[in-house]
Amino acid sequence: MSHAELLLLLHKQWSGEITPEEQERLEGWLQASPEWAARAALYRLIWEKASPPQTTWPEMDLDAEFDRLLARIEAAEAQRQAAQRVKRVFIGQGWRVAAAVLLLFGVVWLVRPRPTPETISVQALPPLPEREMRLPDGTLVHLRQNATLSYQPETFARKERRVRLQGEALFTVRPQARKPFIVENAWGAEVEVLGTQFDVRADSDQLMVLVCEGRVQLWPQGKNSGKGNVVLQVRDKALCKKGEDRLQIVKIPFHLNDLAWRTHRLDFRNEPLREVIAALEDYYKADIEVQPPSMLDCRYSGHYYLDTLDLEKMLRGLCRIYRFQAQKLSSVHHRLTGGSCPGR
Amino acid sequence: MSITPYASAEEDLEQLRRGCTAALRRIFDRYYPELVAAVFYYTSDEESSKDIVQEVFTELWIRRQTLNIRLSLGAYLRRAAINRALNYLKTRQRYQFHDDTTPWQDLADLSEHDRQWKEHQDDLEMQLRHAIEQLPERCRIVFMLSRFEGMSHRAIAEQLGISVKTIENQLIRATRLLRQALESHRYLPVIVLLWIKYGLGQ
Repeated sequence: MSHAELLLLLHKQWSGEITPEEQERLEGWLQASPEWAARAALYRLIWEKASPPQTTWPEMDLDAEFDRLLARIEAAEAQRQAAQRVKRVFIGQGWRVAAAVLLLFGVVWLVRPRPTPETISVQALPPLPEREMRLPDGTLVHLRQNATLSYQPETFARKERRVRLQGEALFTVRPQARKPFIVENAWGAEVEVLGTQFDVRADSDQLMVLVCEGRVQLWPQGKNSGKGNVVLQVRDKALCKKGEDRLQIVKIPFHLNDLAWRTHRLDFRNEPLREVIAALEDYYKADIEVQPPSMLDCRYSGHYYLDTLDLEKMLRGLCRIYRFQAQKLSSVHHRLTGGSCPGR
Repeated sequence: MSITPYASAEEDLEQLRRGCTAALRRIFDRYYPELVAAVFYYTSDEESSKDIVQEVFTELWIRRQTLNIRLSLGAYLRRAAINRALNYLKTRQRYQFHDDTTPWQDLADLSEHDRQWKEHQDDLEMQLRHAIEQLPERCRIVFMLSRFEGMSHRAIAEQLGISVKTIENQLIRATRLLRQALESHRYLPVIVLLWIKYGLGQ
């Protein structure tokens, strides 16, 4: 018997998954050899004496945590009710009921005032880093953590496909002739496409649009404002600020670092360290201080696969290259000091 | 209906079903900190641990009327929290869970840690606990699931989306590493002898 085999059989025994034959084999071995028996006893001791890590949390503000829970419950219930209302319409109990309901609805529809349209909101809540969803037209949306996408199921895809976004999302729009897909943000800017892939980040006072494929039209003040629109091409990144007509449009370089939240990949080719730090801050939602700031002009080349790295490992790598001293001020606040550009 | 501050878990659950938020608060106060601590040992991240446990309580509230709790409320919540933690690990660490090449370097710090630590406390259980905390992450998670959550190898494999073979390899590796960590223990041979002699029958 090998050591690994002994351990395997012991583990099977402990988890209750051992077969009668295996049990017999194990016992035979242990009886035949005192040496194996002693080893098994040691492992059994380790197994039995292993106790779970401590189960108390040092300090916690239970009032604040409970408030957070209530807010979360409220959001979840609102989302669920909206989804249920749609379902209830469709899940009838047989044709007769369905027909009666339909008739009733028809009558009610004619006499009642126009109801406020129902809205479905989908949110990507922590701890998951992102959430994937499909809209009724087949368009694929990847929502970044904390982003909210809402649309009105009744009117969606009637004349146009309209959604409202807060936060960041990557859209892969299913092409549909004559039914433009429109993303609007809180202040009414609109992004219109026919079929393409693009990323929108709608913060409260800034809008960023990045086109990965196809073409996109952007109305900074909305279609009906009478103000002009801009056409964005592949690899265009547009930034516009609330209340400003002027746009800033840049061609993005070879990489897709702006989409790191989705691709989990960062590429740099001889770029200033400032770009690297900014990309890391955005991806990890952290604060990274560099002292002296002149270090930010050092050049950097390389690529990262971020889903296998945490921020601390990343920073340790930078420390090795630039001889920084790293200091962790909190889980999201780090400081790098000293250092020198290699090759200078 | 009177609400006493010392209601039992069953009473709390009953009141919860009727939609009483005070009962939710009592259940929350009783279990939240220990659940966050339990989840933390799998995720190693404070904020996500809190979020995960918050989601468990959100589900508890939303499904309060259709809940079918066969275990005790505490055991139910713990299992729900651990399952969620594993789902979270699965999405966060797809790649880490699949490759099997993690170097054993995590153990390198152990001896120094050990020496410091032994000045204060020379107790097998404490040393073992410490050694478990020092195991490589995947190894530790699989070991803890098997030992402390009472999950079968198959159940762990399904939860983590990896093969039973990998689970067994991780368990074998974990026990070996724990043995190596304990070998520095001064009284280990004596403890093993005594334990074989008097402890096995219990």
